Amino acid sequence: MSAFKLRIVFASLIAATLALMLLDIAIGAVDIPMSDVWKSLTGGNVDPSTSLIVRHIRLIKATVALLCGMALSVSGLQMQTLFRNPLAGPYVLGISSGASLGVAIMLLGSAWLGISSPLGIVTAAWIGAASVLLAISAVSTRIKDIMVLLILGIMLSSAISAIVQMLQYLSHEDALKSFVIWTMGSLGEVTGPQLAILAAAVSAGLLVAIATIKPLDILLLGEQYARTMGLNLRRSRMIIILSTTLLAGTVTAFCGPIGFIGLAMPHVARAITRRADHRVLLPASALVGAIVLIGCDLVSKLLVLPINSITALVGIPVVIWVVLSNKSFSA
Amino acid sequence: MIRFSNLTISHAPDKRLLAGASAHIPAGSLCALIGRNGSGKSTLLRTLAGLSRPESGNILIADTDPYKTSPVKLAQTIAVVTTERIRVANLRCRDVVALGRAPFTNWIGRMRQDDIKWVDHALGLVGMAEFADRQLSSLSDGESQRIMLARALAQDTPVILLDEPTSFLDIPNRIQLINLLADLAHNHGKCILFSTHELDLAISSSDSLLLIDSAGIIHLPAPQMEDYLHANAIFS
Repeated sequence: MSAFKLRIVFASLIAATLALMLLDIAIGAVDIPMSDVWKSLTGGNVDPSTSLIVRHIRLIKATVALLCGMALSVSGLQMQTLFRNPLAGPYVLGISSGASLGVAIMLLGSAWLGISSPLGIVTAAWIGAASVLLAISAVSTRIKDIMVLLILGIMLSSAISAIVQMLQYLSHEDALKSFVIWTMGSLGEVTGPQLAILAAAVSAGLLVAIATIKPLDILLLGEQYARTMGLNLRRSRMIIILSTTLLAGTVTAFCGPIGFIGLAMPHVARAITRRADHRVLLPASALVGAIVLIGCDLVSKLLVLPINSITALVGIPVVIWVVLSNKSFSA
Repeated sequence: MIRFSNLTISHAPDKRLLAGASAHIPAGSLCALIGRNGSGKSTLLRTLAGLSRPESGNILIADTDPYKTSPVKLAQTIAVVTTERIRVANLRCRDVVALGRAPFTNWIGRMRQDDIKWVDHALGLVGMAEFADRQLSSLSDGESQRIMLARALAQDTPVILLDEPTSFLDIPNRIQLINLLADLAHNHGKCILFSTHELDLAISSSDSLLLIDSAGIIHLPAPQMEDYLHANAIFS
C-alpha cells in the first residue's frame, strides 16, 4: 500500500471515528433532535435537562467507548506481537481474571467484611489487575522463553478463576448478581471525575505504547533475531507489559472485562492497511478499536443488551476468519 | 576478526561440547564450520554471537568481547542469520531489511536518508532489489534466505555468522548463496563464518574450514582440510 493510500485510509478512519462519536451522542433512550444535541455540545441555548443528558451522560459514555476501544485494541496488538500469536489478546496475561478477583472479593466478600462503596469496585479491579501483572512482569525478567510466560499467564488466570468461582459459590444472591453484571461489561458506569482518571491512565498507556513501536517491529522476527539486532529483551518486555497494564488494566477496572475488541480489531487493522510494521499498525488498531467499540455501544443502546454480548458477536466472526485464512492453522 | 582462545562450552555440567578451543578467522575471508549433528556447531555460533555465555575462554569479535559490550554495540559488530523461516503476514521485504538498521536508528526507529540508502544497497548486493515491495511470506525459501542475509548486510557489521544457511535450499540456490557469501567476504571485506553440511561446496568456495570433532576444533585452509578429512576418513 502506497503512502498516499495509507493517508486516505487514516483520514477515513479518523472521519469514521468522529462521525460515530457524534451518532453515539445523538442516539439514546430519550429522543433529542440533532440541532439540540449540537447546541448542547457547543454551549448553545437549550433546555438544561437536555444539555445534562447530552453532556453528562452521552458525551461521557461515547468518550469512554472511544478510549476503551483504542486501549483494548492497542493492548491486543502488543500481546499478539510479543507472543507471536494471532490469538493473543489483552487478557492473555491474566489482567481480566486479576480484576475479576478484585471485584469478586469486593462484591462477594463485602458481606463478610462489612464494607461497600461504588468507587470500591474500580479500585478493587485495579488492584487485582495490577497485582497479577506485577507478578507476571516480575517473573518475565527471569524467563528466557516467551512461551513459558504465555503458559504461566494462562495458568494463573485459570487458578484465579477457580478462586473466583469458590467465592461465587459461597456468596449471597444479590452480590452474585452484581458480580455477574460486572462481568458483562458496561461503558455507562463511569462518572465525570472517574473519566478524568480513565483518560489520564489510557493516555499514559498510549504514550508508552509509542515507545513500544520499535521493539515490537524487531520482535516480529522472533526473540532470537531480536537479541542479535541490539534489542534489550527484558527491558522491552517490561515496557510492553507496562503499557498493556495501563491500557487493558484501566479499561477492565472501569468497564469490566470487555471481550474480543483487543483480540479481533488488530486483525481488522492488518487487513485494512496490509502492513505489519507497528508505526502503521498501532495507530490503525487504535482507530479501528475505537470505531468498533463505539459502534457496539450504539447497537447495545438500541437493543438494550450488555456491551460484552455485542462485542463478542462482532469479534468472533473476525477471529474465525483469521483462523481459517491463516495457512499455518488450517489442515 | 573472529578470534577465540581456550574456549570451553558445555551443554550441561556433564556434557562438554568444546574444551580449550582456539581459532582465528581474518577479515575478508569466508570460513565454513563443519561437524556432525550435535557436535556443537550451532552452540559455537550462538556463543560467538553473544547469545549464550561460554563456560570459560576469551572471545574477541572485531576487537570486541561480545559479553562485555552493550546490546546495540554488539549488533553493530555481529550480524546473525538463522535457519528460522519468518512467517508474518503483510511483512514487506523492505521492512525486514530495514530492521537491520535498528541498531542505528533512534528510539522510535526513524529511518534517515542514509538508512534508506543502506537498505537499497543491501537489497542490491543480494540481487533482490526488485523484491523490495513484495511480501516476505510470498517468497520461496531461497529468496527468503537472501532477504534475511540482506537484513544482516544492512546491519553494516564487520562480521556475519550464519547457521546452516543452505539447509532448505535446492542445489542451484545453495551454490548461488555460497558464491554470494564468498563475494561479500572477498570484495566487501566481511568476515563470514557459516555452518554447513555441504562439504564439497564448503571446500570449493571457502577460504578455510573449521571442523568440530571428538578431537576438538581444527582450523585449516580449504585444501589442507580436504586432505585432512581424507586422511582421517571423516565424512567419507
